[in-house]
Amino acid sequence: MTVDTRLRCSICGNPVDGDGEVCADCIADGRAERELGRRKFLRNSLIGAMGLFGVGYLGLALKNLFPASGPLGKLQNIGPINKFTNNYTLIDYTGAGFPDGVYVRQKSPGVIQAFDFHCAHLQCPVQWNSSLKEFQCPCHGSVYNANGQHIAGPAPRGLWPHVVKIANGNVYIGGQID
Amino acid sequence: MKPANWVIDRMGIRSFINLQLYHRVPRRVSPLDFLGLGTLFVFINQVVTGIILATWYNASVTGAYQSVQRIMHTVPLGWLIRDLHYWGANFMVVLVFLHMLRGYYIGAYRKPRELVWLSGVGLLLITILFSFTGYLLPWDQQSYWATMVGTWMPFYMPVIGYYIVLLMRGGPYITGVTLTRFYAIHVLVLPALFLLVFGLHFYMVLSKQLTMVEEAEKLPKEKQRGLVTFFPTTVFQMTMFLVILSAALLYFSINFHAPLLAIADPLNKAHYVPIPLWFFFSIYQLLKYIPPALDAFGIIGLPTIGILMLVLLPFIDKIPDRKPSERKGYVYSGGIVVAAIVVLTYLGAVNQGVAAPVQAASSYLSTNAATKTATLTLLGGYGTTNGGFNFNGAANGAMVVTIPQGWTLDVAFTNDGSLNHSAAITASQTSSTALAATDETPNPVLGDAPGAKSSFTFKATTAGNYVIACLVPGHIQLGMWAKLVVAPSGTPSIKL
Ligand code: FES
Repeated sequence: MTVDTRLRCSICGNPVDGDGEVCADCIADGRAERELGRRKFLRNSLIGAMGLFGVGYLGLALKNLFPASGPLGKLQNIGPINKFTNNYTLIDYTGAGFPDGVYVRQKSPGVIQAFDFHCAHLQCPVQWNSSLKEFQCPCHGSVYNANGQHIAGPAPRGLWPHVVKIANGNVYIGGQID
Repeated sequence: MKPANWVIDRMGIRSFINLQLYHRVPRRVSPLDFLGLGTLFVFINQVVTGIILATWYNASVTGAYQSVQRIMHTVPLGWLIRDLHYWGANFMVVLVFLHMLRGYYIGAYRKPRELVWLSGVGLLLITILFSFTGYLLPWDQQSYWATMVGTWMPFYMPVIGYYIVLLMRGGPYITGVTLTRFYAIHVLVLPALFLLVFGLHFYMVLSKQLTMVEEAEKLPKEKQRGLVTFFPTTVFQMTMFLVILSAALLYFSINFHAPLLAIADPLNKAHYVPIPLWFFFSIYQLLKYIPPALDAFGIIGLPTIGILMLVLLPFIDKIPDRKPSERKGYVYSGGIVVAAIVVLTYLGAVNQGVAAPVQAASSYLSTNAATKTATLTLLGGYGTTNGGFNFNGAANGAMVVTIPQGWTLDVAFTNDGSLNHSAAITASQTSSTALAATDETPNPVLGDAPGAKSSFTFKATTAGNYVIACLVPGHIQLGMWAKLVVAPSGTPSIKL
């Protein structure tokens, strides 16, 4: 059994020379032009439909996986104001739905400061150094002063502050402010 | 007909298989030829051990850590399966790296093998993503904080940066949402992607090998004598290679266990210092040398350039059939990059973190003017500064202790590090013996064991500059020394 491996014209089925899609005869009598135009249209609608499916699923996935940007975290009562001194203490803030470290102090009577403990560089946990009065990051050495401002190291900005509210002698901490 | 033959027959691939099995290859092969095969083998190890681990693992904040503990301690041979998976991951990164290095050296990326190379680059990236996502799953301190740092890196990409962070984490920080996300990517998305890209890679390798067969057959008869058939000669060599590789994998798994630190603590109350995955050490270390202004470039720009170079390589170095000796520029520059990666990885490994000593300098020195005695608290290997080669967290003479002539210095030494350390007063930084046998902790060359305490007394009779050093061989050279100044007069002081 011998197999004829020559390519054939996709319209009339006669062998073609080279690797053309259609034969010279079909081109000559104009059948090729009509047929190829029709094929192009069908091919494009195929690609279009596939593209739509793709975009649809991608959109579905992104919409589903992208976190909804809701309001800032809820206010959380962290105790009476006189509990806080001039020295920072680390508070477990859960108002955003997950545990988050927030450094809180009473800077001067009635003035509360609250900073997120994630370093503004790559979010390592910073540590409050009470003798030097600064926040130090153990990862790449960023340093912030007691007001959360960046003073050394690679961080591009200061620590992220949190919402603070004082009511009835109690301190409330809210979500992180950008 | 044997079942295998029946399948091959019905699939109509007999001639293809025969061509693969009996094509002629050079008799002498190098183990370097089998690095790709080794990678495939380790990948299969990852699939098998990974599926078993997945049956016991619980991807939740409350259950992940406990389920890993159960795998380690309760599940039959669970520890071995976990260690095989852990070491397999490390082996795979190394094997992929070496495999690419070899391809680079012999120029195997050139026409017509561009797609082999490009799919190889894809497999490298997928392998790294595998490690990155798998790292979080044990949910211990190490995995939690390394992921916190790693997932913040895209933040420095222009425009889309923060959106990518949010998408990866599923929120502003690492939570249970991140854990399930990483788990799904690790066990569903990446394996499928890997097999897809690997299919292309392997298909291209096989079909390009056929041109090698043709070339081999075209050789003059005399030259063909060095050729053997792929099966069984080369296949046997491959099997031996895999036996050695799997023995190494087993050896590491049995002797060095995958770490499991304390459970992830989002408040980090124990002051854990985050460290990255080991194959990010080089980038991490490099970031320490570039000025803060270029930091974002280092985090985003350098890896991007690196990947871009790998992708563009086949289109830059195009001249076919050039031997390594004819492409010296490529070989040397590649060599320099690899050497830099190795050195930076090593430096990164010994210099993890810069944990600043939290104690004030003055807390290390107490004085009694009446008896003219000063007491120096000396913590050897305190924290991670200088890879642990420090006193009180200071290395290379950064700590300066000054006492007046005629005073006595009581040195209370504690080895706070993880290696043996000692303390002694020496004449200079190049001296390897103490001034006198009384000016050192007992047996200073061997050093005190970690956690041990010892003390000695130094009489400051002669003014001058001295050195406090660890006399365990090599430690001074690594920077484990401080300055001791005996001043003609004044009061004792310490500076860190
Ligand atoms: S994460 Fe704090 S300095 Fe890099």
